[in-house]
Formats: sequence, structure tokens, C-alpha cells
Amino acid sequence: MSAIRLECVWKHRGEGRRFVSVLRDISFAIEAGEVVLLLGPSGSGKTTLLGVVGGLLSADAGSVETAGALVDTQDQAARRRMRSSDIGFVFQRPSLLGGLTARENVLLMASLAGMDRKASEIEIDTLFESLGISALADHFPHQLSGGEEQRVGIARALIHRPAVLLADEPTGNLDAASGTAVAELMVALAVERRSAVLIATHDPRLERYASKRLLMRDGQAIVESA
Amino acid sequence: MSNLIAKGLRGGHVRFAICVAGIAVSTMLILVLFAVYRSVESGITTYLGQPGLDLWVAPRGTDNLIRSSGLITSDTLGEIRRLPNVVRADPILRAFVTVEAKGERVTLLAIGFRAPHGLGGPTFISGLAPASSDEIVIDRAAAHLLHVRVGDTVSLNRQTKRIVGISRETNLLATQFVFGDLASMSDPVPLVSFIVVEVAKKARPLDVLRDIHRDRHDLDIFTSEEFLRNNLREVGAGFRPMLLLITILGTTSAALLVAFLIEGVVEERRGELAVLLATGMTPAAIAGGLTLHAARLLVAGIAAGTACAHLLSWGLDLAAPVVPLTYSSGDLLIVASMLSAAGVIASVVPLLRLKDIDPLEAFRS
Repeated sequence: MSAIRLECVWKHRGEGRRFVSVLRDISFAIEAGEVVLLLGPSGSGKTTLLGVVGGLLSADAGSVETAGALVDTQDQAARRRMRSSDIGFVFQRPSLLGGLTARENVLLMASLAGMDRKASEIEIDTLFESLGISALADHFPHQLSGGEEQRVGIARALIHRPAVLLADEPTGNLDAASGTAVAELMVALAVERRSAVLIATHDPRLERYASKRLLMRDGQAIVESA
Repeated sequence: MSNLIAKGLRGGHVRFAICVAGIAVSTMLILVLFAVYRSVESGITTYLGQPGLDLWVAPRGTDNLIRSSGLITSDTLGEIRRLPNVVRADPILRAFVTVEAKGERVTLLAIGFRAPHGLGGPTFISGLAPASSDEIVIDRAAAHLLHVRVGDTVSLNRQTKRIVGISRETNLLATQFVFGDLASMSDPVPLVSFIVVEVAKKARPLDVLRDIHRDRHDLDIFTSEEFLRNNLREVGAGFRPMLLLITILGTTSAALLVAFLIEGVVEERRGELAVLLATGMTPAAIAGGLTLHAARLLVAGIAAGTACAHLLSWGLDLAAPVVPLTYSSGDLLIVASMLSAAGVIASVVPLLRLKDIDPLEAFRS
């Protein structure tokens, strides 16, 4: 069973003369532990596709299956549960909560996913060590660099060992060296945890980690092997 | 989780401190007004609640001590004393007098009684009851205003009097009490303002009241409870509207501060809130965390305001005991409950704006 499966998915926006099909007949599948890049110019529908896969948006037609659940048939509460327990999100800007330390930010996600406090603490130590930020665990976001903040964001996305990791321009705000290091760590940790990874990006450096590429253009996707 | 959300979304320390200070000032404002009202109430209750003041006989149309008018002839006293079950009946003369000392001048509410041991005398902080017509007992606040103490002399209606005692619970804020022998307050004394009656233990004050009323329809007679109620109504009449107004204004300003703080969080931390929503947190959970934040703000503000009111009360009592400040834990509970409820209700408005945040904003921020 695929971790992500989309079949003939359509998503429209607007009405009348402003009517636009943002996603047109999209079909693809991503297996556990597989990394897929979502490429395309701005406005091509990458974020909308992430939203549909993550249950933040509903498809107007077609079928979306994420982490074994048919997203279309779920109500809002079930989608929230799915997002908190089966999906990890990495955003361009991690937007960590300013009043919490790095550890507490990740702990909040673990708590949301219903993880036991002790198990969460152990998992955070492991993740922080892998990400090279153990010494920063008690730092607040304003005390971290952009790269360090993004690493905490990755720990937050992976703490609950999600079946699916959705990343939106994870290196977009980082310099070349930091971006490469962060991307490598994110992909390595996600694959190690058997998460299916879908990364929306403009960054060609990430192509070497992907098994497939989804090229988005005017709402349509062309699947290419990497 | 609410705890982590509240901690995570708290605003800057400076803004928090400003809001706490604002709520503290509102709390203090309301508490101080409560305290002033309570101390006046307490003064009246203490004076009128003295043992032996079972019935108050007043001229027709007078039902309280503060604004009495008319006088009773002294032969009435003899009639009442002759009634069965009357243990004691003493006259009280109530008048406003001007007291001067050391260049200061105040108008006081004079209570003339059958000194030194007649009914209706003062309750003391220090000193003794007046034993002659040239001796008086003065309220503590009045003594402070006149810069006098026990042993000093003052001019009362241009007659020299010696202070032999300082009384307590006799400050009505707008005026204070001064006590003296009947003769010291009016010379000669053909008329009195009230007659206070002590009823025998075995008898019911109401029966004696009826006995007096049977022969004297020109008098109004009150039990101690009724007379106390009348006096509390009288002192509260001016206070209550002001107390209500200040309470409403203070509560509103505290509520607005809470709303302002929560609105600031919702508006400025939109990106973080969108991430929380995107990762599966419910708006209710976020609202719970923000409400906890608002509750902490309120608790800090109310605690600071209470502490300041206590300090003010202590400082005033020490340095200038003119405005008595006494409030009960019940008053504090009322003020805290009102402010908390208003604050929590006010935070609902910005919390409703949570539903305007699209989780997809997390991808765009």
C-alpha cells in the first residue's frame, strides 16, 4: 500500500471568469521511504497539491489517500487527527513558538500526536543529536540561526515518526551550505524512519536525494524518474 | 498542552508587564473604593451596634443619625424612663460643630451624650470618656487633620475643650465624630435629637416600642436593626452609584487590556498559529492556551493590585489616617471574580478571529 496515492485529482478555485483549475487530473503514488520532489514555477499548484495531500484542502474530484486514509471521506476532526499523528510538515519558515525552547517546541508536537512524555524526551534527544543541535535544546528561537531553527523544525516534523513528510521549500530561507546540510539531514532521517517524503522546491540541489520528480505546470503534473 | 501553548504564545515581557500594571491599577481603584465604602459602613455599624442601644426614639420624620432634623423635648425622657421594661433611657444630641486647633479648622458631627457612662458614647483607641463639659473625645482622622492628640485643647464652637480620648470607627469620610457631654455641645440643653433606650433582657424591644408609640404619636421609634439599616442606606446612597460607576469603568478597562493583549498575539503570531493549525491542533486547543494566558495575566494583575491596595492602606494608616481603607476577603473575591469574568469574556472577541486563520498560511509565511 502506498503512503500517498492520488488518482485523477482536480482542484478548482474561483467562479465565473475567475474560475481556474489549480490541479488538473493529478495521479501519482509515493511509497514508504521514497523521496519525491515537487518542482515547478511559482503559481503552478505545488502548495495546493501539498495542501490536498495533507488534508488542508479538499479535492474537487478524484481520490486522495494519505497514510492509508481516504482524505476525501474524512471530516475536519479526522483530518486534524491524521495531520497530527501521520503527517510531518516542514515549512519554508519553521515559525517555532517564540516563548518555547527548541525542546519544548518539539515536545508540543509530540504531545499533540499523543506521545508519552518520557518516550518523547528520548526521541527528542535522539533527533537533536542526529541533527547536531543537542547543545541548543534549551535555546529559544530568537537565539537560533536560520539553519538551526529549520533543524528544530525538522525534529518537530519527525518526532512522531509520521508515515508522510510534506516539506515546502525547506531550504528556501537558507544559504547554500546550510541548505544542503539541512536537506541531507531531513531526507536521511525521514528515509530512516520509512516516511514517504514529498518536497516542494525550487532548489536543484535536492534532486540527488529524490527517486522521482513531479514537474508541475499549469496545474498538471508530469512524473519523471530521477 | 494548554500550558505549553500559553507559554509559547506569550507576548513580549514589556507588553505583558504593561497589561499587568493596567489591570493592577483597575483592581486597586475598585478595591480602594470598596474599602472606603466598607470603612464608613463599618464605622456606622460599630457605633450603632454598641450594647444597650435597643431602641432609637427620634422626632417625627427623622430615621437616621446622619441627616436628622427636629428635636425632642426633655420631658419625653422622663415619660420613657417610667415605662415598664426600660432599663435605661439616655438623650443624644446630634449637631454639626466647628472645631479649630493649631490653625486648622474642621466641621465635625458632634454627639452629645450623658457622659461619662451614658448610652451612645464613643469606642476608644486611647484615652477616656469625657467626665465634664470641657472635655471631648475626637475621632482619630479629625485629630490627625487638626494635628492634636490626647491632652491638647481645641476650640469647639468658640469654647475651649480638652481632648481626653481618641475614638475609632467614627470616620464617615465626609465628616468625623466628636463626642462630649450634653452640656458641652449645647448650653443650655432644653432639647435633644434622640433618646436611646436599653430594654430589659427579659422583654422584647418591639413591645417597649409599642408602649412608647401608644402615648407619643409625634415620635418615630426604631429598633437598633432598623435604625442601623436606615443609616447604612443613608451613607450608601451617595456611595453606591459612584462605586458602581468606578467598578464598571475599572472592569471595562481591565477587560480591554486583556482583549488588547490577546488580539496582539492573534495578529502578530499568525504564522505560528497557522503552523499549529496545519499540524493538526484544534482552534479550541489554541483558544484554551490563549485563555490560560489571559487568566495568568488577570491573576498577576489582580494580585499586584491587591498587594498595592494593601500597601496603600498600610501606608495611609501610618502616615495620614484620614481615609480609612478596610475591605473584606469577600470584597476581594467579588472584585477578582468580576475582573476575571470580564477579562475572559473580552478575550473571546480576539479568540473568535482564530477561525479567520487559514492553516495554508503556514506555507506562505
